[in-house]
Amino acid sequence: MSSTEQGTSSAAPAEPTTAPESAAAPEVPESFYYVHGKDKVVHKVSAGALQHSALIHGMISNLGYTEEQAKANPFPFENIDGDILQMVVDWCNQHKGKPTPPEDTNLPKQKEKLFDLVLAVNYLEIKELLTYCCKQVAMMVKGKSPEEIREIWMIPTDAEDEAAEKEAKKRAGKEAAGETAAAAGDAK
Amino acid sequence: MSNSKFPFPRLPDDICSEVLKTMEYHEIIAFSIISKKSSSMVQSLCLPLIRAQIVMGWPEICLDFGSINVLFKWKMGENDKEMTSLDDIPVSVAVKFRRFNPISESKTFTWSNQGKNIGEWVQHLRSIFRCGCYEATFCVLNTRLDIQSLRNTFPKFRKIVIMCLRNEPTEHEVQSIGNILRAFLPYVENLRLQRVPLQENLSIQHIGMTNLKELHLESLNLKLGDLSTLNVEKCIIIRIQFSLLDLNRFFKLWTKGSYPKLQSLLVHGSLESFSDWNILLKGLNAVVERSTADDSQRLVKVKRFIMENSRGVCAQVLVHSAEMVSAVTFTVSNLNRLSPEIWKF
Repeated sequence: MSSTEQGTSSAAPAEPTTAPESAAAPEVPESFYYVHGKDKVVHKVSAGALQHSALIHGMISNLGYTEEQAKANPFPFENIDGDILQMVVDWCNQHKGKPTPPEDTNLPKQKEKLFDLVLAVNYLEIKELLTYCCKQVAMMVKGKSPEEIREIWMIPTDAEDEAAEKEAKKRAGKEAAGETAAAAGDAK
Repeated sequence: MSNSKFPFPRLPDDICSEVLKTMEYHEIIAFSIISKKSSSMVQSLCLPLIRAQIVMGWPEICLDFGSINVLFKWKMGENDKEMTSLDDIPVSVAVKFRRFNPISESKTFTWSNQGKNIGEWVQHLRSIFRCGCYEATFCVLNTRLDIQSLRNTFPKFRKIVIMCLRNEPTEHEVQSIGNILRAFLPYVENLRLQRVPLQENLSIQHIGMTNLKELHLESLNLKLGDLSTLNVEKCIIIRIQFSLLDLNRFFKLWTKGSYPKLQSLLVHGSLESFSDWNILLKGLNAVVERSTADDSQRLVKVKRFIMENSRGVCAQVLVHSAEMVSAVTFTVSNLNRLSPEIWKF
């Protein structure tokens, strides 16, 4: 469960649930952190849920933020779309402290969304979710012929690859020439 | 899943590899065929292949991954047409995926020829996997295979079977068989020749000189007496016409130290005459098993004897002979000729 602090109204603010603990054990308050994506919408996520992300876990493990400090300093992920980050946060919350099942049917079915999700998950280093995403990508071409795979996965032909490579070389050459000219201009 | 496309090449390389690793083998192969880049991506996975069995003639290749195998069967034309050379382009390819564990499962797909000829298909498939065991069966009919394209296309085979499908093969067929043997004989461990005509330039002496683990011969014009050199560990000769004198000469050579690597020999065929066993045993200094019953009335005559060669190695010989067919089994034993165990064969 995540709470959206500003912006979208789709996600209702909610307090994170804590794992039931034995009566004898002292109550340890769960710490929360805040993240936002490209859309600046801040998501409140528990430290337990964030443990799925090796990147964020590494960032927060030594911070020792208080609730106020964490709120004041949300982690910015400007390269991740807001809706994608929401999906990631939801997944982390759903799988907080639970063993991950072998299949996950809640992943987006739209290919554009899945592409962005894969990149985000890879960036945030969420291993289990990345495995699900990879399976989902593989499922797109299940039982398909080479021609169908080429079409679905937008694989260029050898000729297209060669043309793109030539173009890239040309562009790199032009850029290098531009830089040399600029350096020569500066020297003058 | 929506019909929109997914920009797979824009994913980071390590993610692409992760996706490929979750796919079935036939899907990985389908991906590898698409482009040079996709092929090298699959190559970089270094996927292990236990064994590849290639059949030429009615071309197919079976890739054995353990509990899964993938069979490629190329269709060369109507009416089950055979391939004649490695340059032949198939009409289509049937790809059969089979899983044996935990549950048995089988699916067949039909792919286009991908613009590749048979040689290119084989080269592609062998390039994308790491395989240490290749086996081939060449069914020779209207076949024209030259030595260079054989070497360029195929890996070093562990086992080769050559089957000549015509009683009197054409010049091209004989030449192709010779080329196959010249291309691969130095590397092969296990060779099987079925109805292959043995001639001056393709003699049993040439084949016998090769270091082989197993040689299986089924030839119409083979003579046991031609086996003056035999550098193999295990030899099976079937459908041969032989005499007790031929056998005697062979065993005599063995007792004098020939065929030092031979561990077992099976000769199966038609024995010209088995009336006088003394012909077989002459000069072998063999110990013959004492017959407990009179077998003169039996349809199948059985003879068991042991012999020793000049290096003190013992061999057990068992001869079964009947009107139509006879079998001779020769097995080198680790036991001493005086050991009672030596007769347990």
